[in-house]
Amino acid sequence: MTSASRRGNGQPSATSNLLRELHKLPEGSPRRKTLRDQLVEAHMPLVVYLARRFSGRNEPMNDLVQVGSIGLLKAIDRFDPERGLEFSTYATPTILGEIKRHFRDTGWLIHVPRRAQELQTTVNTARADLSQELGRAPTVSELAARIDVGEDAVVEALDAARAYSGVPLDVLAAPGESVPEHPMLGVLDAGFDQVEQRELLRGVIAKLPDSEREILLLRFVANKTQTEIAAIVGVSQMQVSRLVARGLKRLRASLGADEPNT
Amino acid sequence: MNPASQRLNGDVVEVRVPADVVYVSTLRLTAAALAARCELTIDDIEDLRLAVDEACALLLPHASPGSPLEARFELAYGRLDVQATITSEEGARLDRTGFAWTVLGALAAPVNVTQDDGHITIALTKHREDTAQ
Repeated sequence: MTSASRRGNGQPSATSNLLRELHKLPEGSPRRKTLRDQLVEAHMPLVVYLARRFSGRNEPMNDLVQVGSIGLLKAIDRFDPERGLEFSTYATPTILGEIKRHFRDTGWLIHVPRRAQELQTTVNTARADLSQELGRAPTVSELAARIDVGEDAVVEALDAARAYSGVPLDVLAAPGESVPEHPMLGVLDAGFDQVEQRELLRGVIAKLPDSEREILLLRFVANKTQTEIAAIVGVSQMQVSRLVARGLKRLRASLGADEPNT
Repeated sequence: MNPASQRLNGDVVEVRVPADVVYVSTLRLTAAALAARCELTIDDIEDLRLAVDEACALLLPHASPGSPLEARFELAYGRLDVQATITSEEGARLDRTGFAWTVLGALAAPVNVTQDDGHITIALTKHREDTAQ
């Protein structure tokens, strides 16, 4: 543990004396600033410790320490010395709350779908590139190195985001495709939604090669991801991607639909 | 409460990894995945991930070389109980004066430590915010 925490714990009276004095001062007293500065300085190591817990998420440490300090200031102002609570115990959730709020505002906690979607797009692109370069699917560490994020973030983008937020539609899009403009699902929906084409489609689907038919059904009827389909069918994800694209192309051609401008 | 989360009440998941810092992320991800099943909120899951980090930071320095770190998760709707146990030298004591301990206490409640028989266990419970106590 750091020397600062030892000092803090060795002399709990220093902090609590400062807080007690601060608490008694009237609003606007110039002495308040001095006391607050001393308290902030004394507890900065706690802020840095907590901020470091959130590093590795593409968020500069300085920013995290700064928002954490806001939490510390709030804790200093709101702390009631009479309640007999240890200040660091009181301040920790306040500081963490401020850091979390920062991630929420800049789009990590609440906007998991968006963030996951962005990272998903990046991961998918890198996955396609690396698959081609390596002649096999990349490992998590290879992906992480390529797109310069932590391995945890990659694992989350691949998997945990789904648990948090349901499957973002974009996950279902083919790797490397520019997702927002042309979600593959949207393209297919337009066809499926037209009732008069359904009968036609049924016949066309029946004529597809078995492998393409099975994969299209898994993809768009069972709503499986390409990776899941790859596991079920026993081929690579890239192969699934190709079969989906080929199957869709065949469907469109058979139905006389125009190719979308992808 | 949806039927899926009713079914998980009392389910127990046990994970045993080498007591080495490189496996902390495995426990963290396991905890997060299970917490999602328990329908804890995203904020709760975030807290839990940090709490697992802190618990491991407290335990690992005391782990005997080559011994495992055992984690036990008990699932319930809106609640995840976590126990992390290491094998240690007789008489090893957790550092309860540092940041890690303070932070752990702030992130999960209650936190209990048992130390006996050359084992140290940290048990913590994460409640979903709106179902706490």
